[in-house]
Amino acid sequence: MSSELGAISPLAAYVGSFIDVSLPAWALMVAATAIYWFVLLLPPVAAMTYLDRKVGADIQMRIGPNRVSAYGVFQAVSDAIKLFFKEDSGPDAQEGWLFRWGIVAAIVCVFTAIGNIPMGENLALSNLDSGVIVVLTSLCFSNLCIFWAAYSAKSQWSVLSSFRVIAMVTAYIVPIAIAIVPPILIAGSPNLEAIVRAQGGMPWKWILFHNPGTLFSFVALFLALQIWQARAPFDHYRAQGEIAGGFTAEFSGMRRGLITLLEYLSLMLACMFIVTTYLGGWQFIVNLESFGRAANVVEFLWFLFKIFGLVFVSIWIRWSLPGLRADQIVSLSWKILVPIGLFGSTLTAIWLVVFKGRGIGDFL
Amino acid sequence: MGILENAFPEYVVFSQLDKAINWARENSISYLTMDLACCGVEMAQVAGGRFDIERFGAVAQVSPRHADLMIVAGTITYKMASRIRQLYEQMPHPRYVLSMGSCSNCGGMFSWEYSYSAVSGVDKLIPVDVFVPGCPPRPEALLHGLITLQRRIAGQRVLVRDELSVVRGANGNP
Ligand code: SF4
Repeated sequence: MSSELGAISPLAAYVGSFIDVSLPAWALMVAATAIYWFVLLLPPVAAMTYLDRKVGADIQMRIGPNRVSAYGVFQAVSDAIKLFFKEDSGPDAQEGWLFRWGIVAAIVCVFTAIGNIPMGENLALSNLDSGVIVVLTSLCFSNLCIFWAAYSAKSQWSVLSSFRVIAMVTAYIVPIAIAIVPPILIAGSPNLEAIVRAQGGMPWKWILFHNPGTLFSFVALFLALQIWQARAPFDHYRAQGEIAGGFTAEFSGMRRGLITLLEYLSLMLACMFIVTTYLGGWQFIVNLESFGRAANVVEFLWFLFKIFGLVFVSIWIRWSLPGLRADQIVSLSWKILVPIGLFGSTLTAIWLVVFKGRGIGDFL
Repeated sequence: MGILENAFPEYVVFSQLDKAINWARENSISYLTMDLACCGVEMAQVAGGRFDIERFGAVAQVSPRHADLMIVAGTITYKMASRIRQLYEQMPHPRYVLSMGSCSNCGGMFSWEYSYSAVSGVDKLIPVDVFVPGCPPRPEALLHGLITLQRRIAGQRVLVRDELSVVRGANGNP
């Protein structure tokens, strides 16, 4: 049974291998989900909120939060407690449950996508053969949930924001779908585990450096995922100066806290997805077979290290570039990202035929 | 004042939870900027590199539903008065108001003796927690006002009942 479970959910089987008594599969799944959420996911996400404020302050030559504890490390804790004990108010005309649960549904979508991405040898919540497709679908659905929440708030800012959300779906999903083709071609499968296995630990074994074309599609994927997250400078549907925060404007208290959680979970998902498909995933630079179970920890930390490299680039972009208008974002994605993504995919396909599936790293 | 006060029946007694709640509230104040006149420029630079209000965990917000504190900075015309009132009512509990500059403290040079169009003080419209004097106050004065407000929040009773509470902080209980 264990191998059956391992084919569906590697992490659940892995959790099961630690305990002697044999638990039913659903209990292992629940335990694995809890461990995934609270041990693997939330600590890095909390670190991202802190990093965003501190690095952002540094870029603006400020100090950033430093009164809560040494270097303001627990600022996020203080924010969370404050939001938890704040009144939950909303506009009178709000459309009941759509307004109240839209953000929660968006978080569920993002988590569905994250669960497919392996963070280490056995650290994936589910192992689907259609992994990439599930991630792409979840990206779209999370924005649909935001659209619900925004449209049902029925205030002018939220409704404007909901139109812009739909405009954004047309902007980012085509570049992402095109830019994700080279890893699928190289690995021969949309299974994310297989895509990681097709790469190696050393940078020249990454899909990023497989051939000149993948460099182009990497840029397209990175920028399109930035547009999906709606972080500045692509924040035009949650712009603070223009439409008072867009769909976030009518949420208060803990629902406002959930929006912050959604924002940083999205950042986490985008970076995890890019690292897995282009930057070698969790594969460490040397072979870890002699390490036993400690190998998982090393792989996980190595994976986080790469993620935080990308997070730093995102923060850098966010705090240094001015925001773009809706039409500028759409024309960026259709006139620049789609062509370079298509160029990268075509070049990769030709390269694979000409060199019989070998990348630059195989010739070194 | 807030939603937590008297939310529990009398036999439920709290002693230390207030400290945690007040600690969180004083250290993450999101402020709604009401920059109405020249004082607004002084308030804007408090978020900049030299004064950096974010050291105290305070962040500027544009939506009243995200805000804990409304900083009223500038001359309040009669036309603006109803808007200020409306924005204040949209803020979720607990909410605080800081009045910055002579104009919003008492009318300043636009008080009723000299001007036909300005309200003499924001306390005619909404309850004010801290007044910061000056025309305009320096950003350091606004930071001092924020610290004063933090002391007030630290002395607040949230879940502890009157007879059990020990008033602490320089300004005592609001
Ligand atoms: S108090 Fe002085 S500086 Fe401030 S708004 Fe009034 S006139 Fe301008």
